[in-house]
Amino acid sequence: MGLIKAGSKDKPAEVSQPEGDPLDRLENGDAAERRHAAHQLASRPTDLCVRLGRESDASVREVILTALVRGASPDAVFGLLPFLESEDAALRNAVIETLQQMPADLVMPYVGALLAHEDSDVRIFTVQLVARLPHPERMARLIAVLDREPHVNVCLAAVEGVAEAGRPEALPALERLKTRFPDDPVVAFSVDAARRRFAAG
Amino acid sequence: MAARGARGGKPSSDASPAEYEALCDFLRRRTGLAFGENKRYYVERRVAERMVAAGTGTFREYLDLLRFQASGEELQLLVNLMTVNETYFFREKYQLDCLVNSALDELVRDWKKGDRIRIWSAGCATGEEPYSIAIMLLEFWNRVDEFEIELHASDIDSHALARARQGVYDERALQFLPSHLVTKYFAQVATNRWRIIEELRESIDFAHTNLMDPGQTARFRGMDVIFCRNLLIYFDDLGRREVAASFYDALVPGGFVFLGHSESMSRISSLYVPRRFPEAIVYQKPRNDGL
Amino acid sequence: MKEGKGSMSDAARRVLIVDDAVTVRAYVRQVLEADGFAVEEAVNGIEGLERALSNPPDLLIVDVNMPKMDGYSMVHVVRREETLRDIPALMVSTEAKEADRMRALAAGANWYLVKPVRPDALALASRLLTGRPVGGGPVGEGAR
Repeated sequence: MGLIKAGSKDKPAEVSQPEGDPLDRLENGDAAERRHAAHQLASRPTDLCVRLGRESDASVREVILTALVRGASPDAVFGLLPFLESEDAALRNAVIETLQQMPADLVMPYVGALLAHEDSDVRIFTVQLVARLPHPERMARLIAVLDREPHVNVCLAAVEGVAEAGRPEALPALERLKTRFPDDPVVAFSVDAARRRFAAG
Repeated sequence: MAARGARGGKPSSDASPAEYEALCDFLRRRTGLAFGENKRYYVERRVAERMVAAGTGTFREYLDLLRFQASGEELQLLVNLMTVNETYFFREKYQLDCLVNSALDELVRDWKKGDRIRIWSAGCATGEEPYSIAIMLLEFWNRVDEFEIELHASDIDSHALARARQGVYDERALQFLPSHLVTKYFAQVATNRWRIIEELRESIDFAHTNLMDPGQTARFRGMDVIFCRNLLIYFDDLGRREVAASFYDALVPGGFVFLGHSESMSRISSLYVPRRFPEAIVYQKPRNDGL
Repeated sequence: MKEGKGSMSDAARRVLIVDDAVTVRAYVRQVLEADGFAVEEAVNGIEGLERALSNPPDLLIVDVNMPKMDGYSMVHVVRREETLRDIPALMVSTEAKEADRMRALAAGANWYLVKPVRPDALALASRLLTGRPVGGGPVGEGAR
């Protein structure tokens, strides 16, 4: 007993890979088989997204999502967007993170429509997403939210985004936001905090 | 994309910003290693070294060699050069204490004598970590003789692995080991060189493994504990996420992951739950697969 | 709720704010420190659990939408964890539907507030949940 000698275990040198159609395994396998299948299906983003809508296992979802990032296709982005409306907080947040890891050029074309979504929470998630996308349009989008978005929480997400981006070009828009919500102490605080960060930095 | 020839740049490898970026992209995709603009000097120095050794005239040629060489030998040599770690025995010892004082006892609570424990040191470099684990188990785990223990270790750097298998170390690596343990587990083989005893060298299964390749990580299954300390810092966000997911595949439900002391799953993956033991925070794969 | 003029311990109640927005964390810190609380921060549910496990606070304020581990999941784990299960948890979210409130309570939250949370509401809820008197000023003044 104790430490056993390496190489003396009954483990095959070749690890056998699961056989059969990965799509079938994605639907019908156990969690480990579904994870393996998802990893193989990076070139099939639409199928992955369909499965994502039915997949309840967090570990399989995670492999589906990383496969979608690795595939990095317009179809992957398009397939992920509906999940921003999901009732499942864990899934929704994982999708936001995943979109943040996609090439910014693939995601940015959808941002306009999302920023006009009727659900203010979807607009918030979109602002958070935009704030993390390294893309030339990013600041213009955030400033447009600061100037025109009616819902205060969406605006606050934009303040956060601008502060994290550390771009002082948004300072005038931040001041304008204060005048749009003159009685809101949270807006006042957030704008002042952002301004202090720019001043310090 | 960075503009071509936008700045003078350092002469060593003659890589333009765009070429440097192409190299980093290539490395990231093939190995998961991520090097940004702030690591440029570090990378360039090593590339320049390899370019001389490989006899390639321009950076473009060298990049082609990396990409297209069928044996992959040059890529391996470059990677070896880039993943040198400073390490020593009993590094971040509080985690090793956690293993033998807390985590293992919880793991084996309902187990029978003779059951098998599997521990994987992922990113073992020159072997100090897996050998440290072995010594800790033999010296400080009071139940070590009740179970069979498989020790696995892996690294992407083939030279480091070769040195790990040899098991020869200098004073610097041994400096935090109590001298009676050096006497017990090492034999001096030259001035400032000690070799770890054969019993321990034979107890560790060293494997050359690229953590980004699921075909290679598939050999690790049924792991109870994974040590992956100060390795994931070299990966980008997606790489870290993917490695964490492949550790999930490797682990038994309820298995543990130890990260480096300044690392946290909160920046890496959603799949693990932090667990607090008296000595350390450790990450656990949920017991019922999927919360 | 006891009236605590000097009879209550003067040790500041400790609050852990768990929210991925740095602005929100700074806001909660400012409001609650002014009200006599000590404030610690975490950026998502995993870091929140790490901090809480290392040093259990007197109150958790947890945002719903965070990367890596959302607020519902975090509170769910807290309620199963022996050293944490009795800590009161205030959930905050931008979501205002009744279903969200019910979900928060089902996860184990004691209270649910919709963002943006006004300073007085934040201080009031924090005092209520940590057994501090709701009238009077910060701890230092109340003790006089």
